[in-house]
Amino acid sequence: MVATAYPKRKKKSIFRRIWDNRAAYLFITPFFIGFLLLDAFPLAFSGYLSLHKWNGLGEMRYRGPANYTRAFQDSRFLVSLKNTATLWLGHIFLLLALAFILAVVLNSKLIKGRYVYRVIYYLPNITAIAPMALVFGLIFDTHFGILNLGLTALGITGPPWLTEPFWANVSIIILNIWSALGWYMLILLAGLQSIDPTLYEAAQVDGSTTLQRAWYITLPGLRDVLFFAFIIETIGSFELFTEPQLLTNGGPLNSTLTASLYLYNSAFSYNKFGYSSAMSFILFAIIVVVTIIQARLTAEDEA
Amino acid sequence: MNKKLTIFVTLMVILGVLVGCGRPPAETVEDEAPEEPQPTAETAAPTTPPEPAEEDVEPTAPSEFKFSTWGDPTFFEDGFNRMKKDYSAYADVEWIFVSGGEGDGDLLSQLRADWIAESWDTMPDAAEMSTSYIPLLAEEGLLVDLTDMVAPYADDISPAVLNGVTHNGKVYALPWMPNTGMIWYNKEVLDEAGINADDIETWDDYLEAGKTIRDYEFADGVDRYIHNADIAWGPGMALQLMLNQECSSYIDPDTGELAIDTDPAFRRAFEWWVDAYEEGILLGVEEWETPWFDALNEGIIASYISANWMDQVIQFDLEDQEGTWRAMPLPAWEPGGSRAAFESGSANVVILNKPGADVDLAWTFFEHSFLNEDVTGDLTSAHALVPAFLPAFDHPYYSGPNDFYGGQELGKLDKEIQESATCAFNYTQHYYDITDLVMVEIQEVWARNKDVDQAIADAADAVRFSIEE
Repeated sequence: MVATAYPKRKKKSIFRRIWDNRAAYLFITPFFIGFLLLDAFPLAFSGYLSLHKWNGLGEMRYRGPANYTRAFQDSRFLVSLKNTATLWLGHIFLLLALAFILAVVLNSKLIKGRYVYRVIYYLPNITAIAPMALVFGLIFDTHFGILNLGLTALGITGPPWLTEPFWANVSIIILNIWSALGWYMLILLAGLQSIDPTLYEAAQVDGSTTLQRAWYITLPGLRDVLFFAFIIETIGSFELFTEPQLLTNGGPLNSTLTASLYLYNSAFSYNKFGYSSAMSFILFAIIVVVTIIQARLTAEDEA
Repeated sequence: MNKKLTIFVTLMVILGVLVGCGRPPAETVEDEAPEEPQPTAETAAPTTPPEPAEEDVEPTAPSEFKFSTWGDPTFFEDGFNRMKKDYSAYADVEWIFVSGGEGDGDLLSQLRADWIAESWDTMPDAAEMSTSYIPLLAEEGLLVDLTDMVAPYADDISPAVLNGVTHNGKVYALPWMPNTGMIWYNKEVLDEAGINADDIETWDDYLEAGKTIRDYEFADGVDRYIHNADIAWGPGMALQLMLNQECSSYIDPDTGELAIDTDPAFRRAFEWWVDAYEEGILLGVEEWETPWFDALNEGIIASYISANWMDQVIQFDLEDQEGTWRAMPLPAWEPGGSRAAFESGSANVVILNKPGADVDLAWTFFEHSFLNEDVTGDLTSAHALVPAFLPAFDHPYYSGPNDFYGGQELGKLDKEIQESATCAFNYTQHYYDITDLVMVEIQEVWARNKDVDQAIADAADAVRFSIEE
């Protein structure tokens, strides 16, 4: 048997390969132009800006990493990170638990009109956050809000929802959960419907209880969806801005001043664009670290 | 694929992206004659202003004039159209309103973006501008120096008002309406509680009046308060008014040093707000929201430390308040002391220092509208506003009684305060940063987390850290 020698194929240059696939590249070009102009360039410029002192108008003065070191000495920034973490922890588990319960209930064929309820619960998610925050401000007003008026009618003295640090945080958590519940309910509902129903049938035949089926079938089946929801909501929590800005403007006593709100104020109220950029990158790094930790914990679980 | 078609599609894509990323054109307003102000028994027929001298008329005028404000532009457009009638060289200039967004911060952001991008076509020629932003914009060269243009009128504007728009010895804005500090009070509430506003001459008197209202049992059984304080923020501009009347500021204008921990006036004003809170004379609703408007409507807030523009709120945002409210000058710190101050300085107009700026046109507009004995009073009174140009107060609208306020001569009061004011608040680019830090410390004392000494010391430390970047 004689071995056949095939001629070596000449490797095409990258330009040749692009030209050969020019139609495809042409179709994806608009996205990349937009990405470069609206994402990559602002990100790169922000990184450059974070190494400078700039009031948004005059000359940029190079400071090196000074903005970054300064941020860790800035009590307001540290307080804003603490507030952000508090609001995150204060709402995420409750939100996902409520969304899970809601998803299970609205997945049940016993609930008549469950499709209507799904729509109703989802409506807050598509409502603009700004008018929602303004309405909640009226509801939570200590003296004239309908919540405290209703509590007074029941003989209960309503708390100072927006003027006392603890209750101001509670108010923001309530608004946050109210607006996001429907979306996570939908996500978990889709996850529930992807679980093989025969598993439940088999478990039922084996004599398992409802709680056992939920613990051994439903939750493991939703693991990936729950992890996804947890990551997404964590990222969203660290970017929390509109609710504290409109409901409490970071007060009282800076107790609802989130990192995003502080870096926004630093740029647009205090004219510290370079410093604000540095804080935004620190926040980004924190989000990345938290996400990696969550991913590793989940991967270890699966292993 | 066909080569020509490929090139064509590529060009279309690039064009589409560039068009999509472009800014929308500025709003244009049809050049129509402004509504003539309706003559009333209080207003005399306006006299015809003199024709400008031939040498003052520009031989060539631009085709358009762009003006930006965050508020209602009709007042400025009215002034511009009046100017056009009297200056034939500018008769064909089109007025273009460029919206400044929701507030002065939005306008600043737009000007900033235009300046950095050197987008001179979208940048307005002139704009309304808050006093607090003038140092920043002047420092960076965005504003035209108006010193020589304003100089002939310096005696006709309160020096305190003019100093507010002066930076490094140069005037960078023309004040058209000072925010003259006043206390607006609900006379019906004060009368029922047996308080005569004329007897409130000092801040101690005002505090005592607050206690009287706190303790009084009103006929309708409703608890009332002499003032409001946004518990989640602090006294805000009212604190700045108190400092201004003592010629005090956060930053010493002479030394440039932080003054809040060394100036006794700051401590006194800080302590007053602590005392007022602890005495329970302040309602704690968020301001500029529905509960605040309702509380003013119903007299639950019996008075409000503010400025002359509060007249617009009482007349147009509250309901059925005719005859209910009056205004009084700020109380002094000691009997016979200063009762004059300005809240956030004044409303001003500036000329943007962009290439090709027609400074003559912009200044002619400003001068004709805001520094003209025959026009200014007419213009500002037609819009229920108050002039900075003192001769304009001779207009019957300002020199006579105001029926909405029970016949009170509000114009006379405003003019007296303006004339007696001696100093401007020293605004720096750190003003908002310092204000936020000070407000937090006042809240700390209200919440009994700190005493006054600690709060002021912490405020000073925080400010020094923040501004010494």
